[in-house]
Amino acid sequence: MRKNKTFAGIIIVLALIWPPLLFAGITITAIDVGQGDAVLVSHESYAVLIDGGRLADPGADYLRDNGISNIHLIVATHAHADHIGGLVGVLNRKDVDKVLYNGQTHTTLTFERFIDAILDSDAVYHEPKRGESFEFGEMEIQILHPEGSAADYDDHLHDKNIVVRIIYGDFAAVISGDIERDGELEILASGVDVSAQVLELGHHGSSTSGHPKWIRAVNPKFAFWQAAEGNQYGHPHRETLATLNRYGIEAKGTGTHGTITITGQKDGIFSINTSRSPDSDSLREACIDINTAGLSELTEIVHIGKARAKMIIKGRPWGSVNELTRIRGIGAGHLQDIIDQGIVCE
Amino acid sequence: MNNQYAVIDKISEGVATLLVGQDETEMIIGLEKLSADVKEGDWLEMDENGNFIASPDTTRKRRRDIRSKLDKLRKRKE
Repeated sequence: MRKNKTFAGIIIVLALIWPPLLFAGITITAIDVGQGDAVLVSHESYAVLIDGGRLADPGADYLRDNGISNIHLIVATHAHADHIGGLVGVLNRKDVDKVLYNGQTHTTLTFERFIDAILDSDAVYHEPKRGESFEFGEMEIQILHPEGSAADYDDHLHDKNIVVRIIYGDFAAVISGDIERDGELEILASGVDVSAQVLELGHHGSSTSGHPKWIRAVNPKFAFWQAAEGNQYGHPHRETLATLNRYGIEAKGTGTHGTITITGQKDGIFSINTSRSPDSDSLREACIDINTAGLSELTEIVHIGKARAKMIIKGRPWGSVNELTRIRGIGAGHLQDIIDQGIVCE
Repeated sequence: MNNQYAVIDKISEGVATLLVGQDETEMIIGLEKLSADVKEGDWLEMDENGNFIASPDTTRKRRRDIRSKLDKLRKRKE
């Protein structure tokens, strides 16, 4: 009896030190690191960090504040500074068992510091290939991209970005890094299973990523992006959010919602918590409402110049986008182009 | 006399993200301000007029040195 009480006490103390022990399952945390990516995946006592943001401290500070001293796996998706900069601090401050990187050479000081930090650590280094998987308890990390080492590849760094699928029972999540549309289609062409309840949008929600075929294939219930609010790149882009809107996929971003924590269970059920709650509906804002948009916003729609934008304003209210055929010159073909563009609210 | 160096970290969406100086401060500029043949990883030198000029020797040396470090990592026993 006394032994049981002691054991329960130890568990409570451990749970206070290591929050994931408070509940069963898997947690995927999109850490708010400003304009950059950092995703922490926790299951039991295992910790996997996918990218670390650009700055040295936010990622490492988050790990410290959550009592994580050992990282079992780091996945550095590619060499851009907004993904690997923060990993230098993590490698210097934490015990890291293994680092996955695609092997491509970059010439920035940040990248050199990242490589130096791995060399100075005791971490195992590995360049993964599509189809490989890594198990941590009941959690599995599958490599969807690239097809193999990018050590001899010298084109754009996004092309060979590592994309992973995390599996825990019937729950799955895809973390995209900065993969772009060609990469997404290459993954689909390879025939690997990409289905997941949760999707991290590629390249901070940029329109360079998020091909509709990719989004349909992953078929997520929830998508998130990692980008600073008001960033100079305009991330996330309207086209990507409109695609999610069209498919009825809930979405949130670190720029608007702060750190996002997804807790998944073996039966596929998951819940979402955010550190901030914005007032507005970001997905609704992402599309152009033909009943309220201004002239310049309407001209972002394909086949809509100033003259037709004025006609749209004059013709309000509109019951649906399909009614735009009432405007001179907008036939069935143009209407389909407008729908396919995906930026008009439905 | 000491010109400022920068490296192109990223080219995407019509802009280049440069990392400037030893602390690699981020600077985003339009691609039209750089020569058409620049690539990610190219090192640039800023002249007295504020123009960025490609520095191919620095780029080659950086690429060779860092490739060598990566090769060292690959030789590490897994």
